[in-house]
Amino acid sequence: MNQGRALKALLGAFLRMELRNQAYAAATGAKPAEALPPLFWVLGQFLATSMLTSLTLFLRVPADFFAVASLGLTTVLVGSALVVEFHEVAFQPDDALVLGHRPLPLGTYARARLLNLLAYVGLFAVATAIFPSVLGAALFDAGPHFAWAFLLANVAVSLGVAALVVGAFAAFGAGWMTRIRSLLAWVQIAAILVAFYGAQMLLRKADGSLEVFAQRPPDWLWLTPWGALGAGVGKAGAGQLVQAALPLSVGLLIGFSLVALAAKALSKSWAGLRAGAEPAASHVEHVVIAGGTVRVGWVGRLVASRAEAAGFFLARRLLERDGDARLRALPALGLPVSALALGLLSDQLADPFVTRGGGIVLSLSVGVLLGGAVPSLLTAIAAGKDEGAASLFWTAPLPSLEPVVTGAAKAALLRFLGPLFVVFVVAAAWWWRSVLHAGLEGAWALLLVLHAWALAQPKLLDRVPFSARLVRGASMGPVALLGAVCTAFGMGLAAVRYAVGPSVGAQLGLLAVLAVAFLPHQHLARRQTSQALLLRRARGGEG
Amino acid sequence: MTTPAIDVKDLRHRYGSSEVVRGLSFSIPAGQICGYLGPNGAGKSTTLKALTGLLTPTSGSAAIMGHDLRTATLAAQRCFGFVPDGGGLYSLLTPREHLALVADLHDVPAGLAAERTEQLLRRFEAAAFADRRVDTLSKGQRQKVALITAFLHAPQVLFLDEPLNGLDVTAARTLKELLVEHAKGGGTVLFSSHILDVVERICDRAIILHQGQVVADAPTTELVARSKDKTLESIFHQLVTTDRVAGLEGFSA
Repeated sequence: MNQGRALKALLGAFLRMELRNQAYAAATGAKPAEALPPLFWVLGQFLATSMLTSLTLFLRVPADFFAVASLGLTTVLVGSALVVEFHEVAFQPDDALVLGHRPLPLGTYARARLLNLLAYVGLFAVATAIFPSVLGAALFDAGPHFAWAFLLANVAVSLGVAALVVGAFAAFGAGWMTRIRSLLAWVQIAAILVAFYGAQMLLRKADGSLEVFAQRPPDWLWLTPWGALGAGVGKAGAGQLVQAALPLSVGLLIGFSLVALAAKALSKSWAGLRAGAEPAASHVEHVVIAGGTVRVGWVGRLVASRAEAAGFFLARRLLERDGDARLRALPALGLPVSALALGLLSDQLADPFVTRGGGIVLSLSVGVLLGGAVPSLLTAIAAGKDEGAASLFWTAPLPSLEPVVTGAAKAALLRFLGPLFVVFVVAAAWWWRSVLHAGLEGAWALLLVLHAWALAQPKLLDRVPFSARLVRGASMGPVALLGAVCTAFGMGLAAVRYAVGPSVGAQLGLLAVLAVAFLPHQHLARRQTSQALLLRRARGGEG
Repeated sequence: MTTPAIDVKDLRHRYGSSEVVRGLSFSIPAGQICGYLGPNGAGKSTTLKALTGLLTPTSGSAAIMGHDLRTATLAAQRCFGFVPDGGGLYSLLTPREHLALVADLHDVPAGLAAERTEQLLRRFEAAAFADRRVDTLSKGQRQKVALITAFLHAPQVLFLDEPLNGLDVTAARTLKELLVEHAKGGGTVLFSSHILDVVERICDRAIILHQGQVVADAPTTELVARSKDKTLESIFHQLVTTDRVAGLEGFSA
């Protein structure tokens, strides 16, 4: 068999499918064409984040440190995208059914899938390199060579990250990965915490400590991959091309070598999948439903109708059992967890009911960021693996599917935000020595979450939960805008609280206004959701 | 005059510029099992989707037990059970969880739902895997679950798209018995299948589609009698292996 031809054919087919998946809505007419496919939103976020970081660092730090920080950002962004959803490009269990019986060498398949993934990684590398390259070249101690050197270093870092993620997924096996997906999501949250800490340090410290740190960073920094590559970029920027060549070429060599190792690991994992050694559904679970209804126990007290109970039950069960859905949702909690952790660790979590000034910023931020996470959490229950099963709901004699959607959203928010609320209120009560103030702060956070829910639900859940097709980038891309709107709404209210100061009466007044406003807001949201679902039904349900 | 269980009038549907259902009209009285046949792409699944409210047809009308699907959708949807091609199940739920979900969506009283669930699980010999996740079940076991969900709320009309897919001999026999019982009790079945000998044996009537149009609509016995070698397969082949859509004289609706 001509392996070159097979590789070309496979890669062509994979890339064509990925592109069609991005244009799915427009191609099928299942919903109005999106102005930008989800992938473009992800790239847009990468551009925006790298631009903000570059502008923050511009003319404040030396060129080599500028490169190190930008490469670190690339690692976080590319790593997050791969861990959350883009690793799926390389791991497609369905391939076994289509290709498993073909005379296709393992290596050819693995190379095609990896190249398929690297096409995305290439786009990510370019998106994260544009602003640092251009702004870096304009630094006092750098020149035009900085731009291409940074691009090369960024490619090396992106390749290394991609290879490590793929290698880890492949080496430990799909079953093991499923079990540790939640752990991976928390690793990501920890990465966000580190990035958050760095960002808030850059923004808050106006005393020149950043400049001092950047001028004399610890020696070990230059021994890390980012440090070594950053130093090379700095040298290239300074015109020392010969000295720059070694770290950059070694970096690229290591990047490509890691990719080759990842290809090997991937072909081993494919062999296991093809031989049926690791069937995706080997787990047998025994769950008994009594009484022929899902509206039993405490669920019955949380829902208003059997239809809402059905939605609640569906989301609760699928989120329990679908590691991918959890992985798509959990990173959204990174920012509120980071704000809380940083507040506690850096003694910046002051009681807003007795304190005035900057010390309460992180206290207020936790609620704001919990609200900002809501759109991502709702997006996690929009898409699923069993699109066809939505017919159970579309053919049910329900006047509206809105209660189903509302029930599912309740389950998702309760599952993801419930534990965080408890942790936040308990931590605040302990920290502030006031259960009352902690409870009030919890109420503030809850009201922001409820308003964000009312704002986001009609826009994100105009379908039976878990019925949208999984499109690469959808859980990270377009939803970011809605997340930003919810965060901005919360920040606006937080600014009012900041201005009002520690007056309990005034703050209680604000809480009362938010609580009263929620009723019409929720009513409007339910009506809008109902209308959106009717519109979808008129277009033919899930198409 | 008795209201037909299924009444379809000049139903048309387009996907983009391609018209896949072209002016279908037929009505099926209560108590009849009707085979719905046609080659791939004839428009069978599209019609079933339109008759179950999963798709809004471009034009025409359809009514289930006298309830128009456009103007009285809910009343119509209360009357039928549906098994889509592929089953339409959540792979991460268990059969019993699916049945509880369907009971809630159709508002079947909890006690009655539990009773019917156990009856149907026993009937299809599915109790042994009722608490296992669907993604751990075989194709035939999944199909049994899909069938049970369609029967659970005791609908008057059943729409079955390839219901025999993956079923073993015993399960297929159980299904046939259930369909006959359902029809004897006044229920109606629209049965889409490519397994023509089964259709020949259990259906009172067959509607054959070709290129989105009805090319034959008659009692199965009459269709068989008119064929060259006295089989449904023979007349089916005769009707659908031509580009020209033309019904047999006396059989077109």
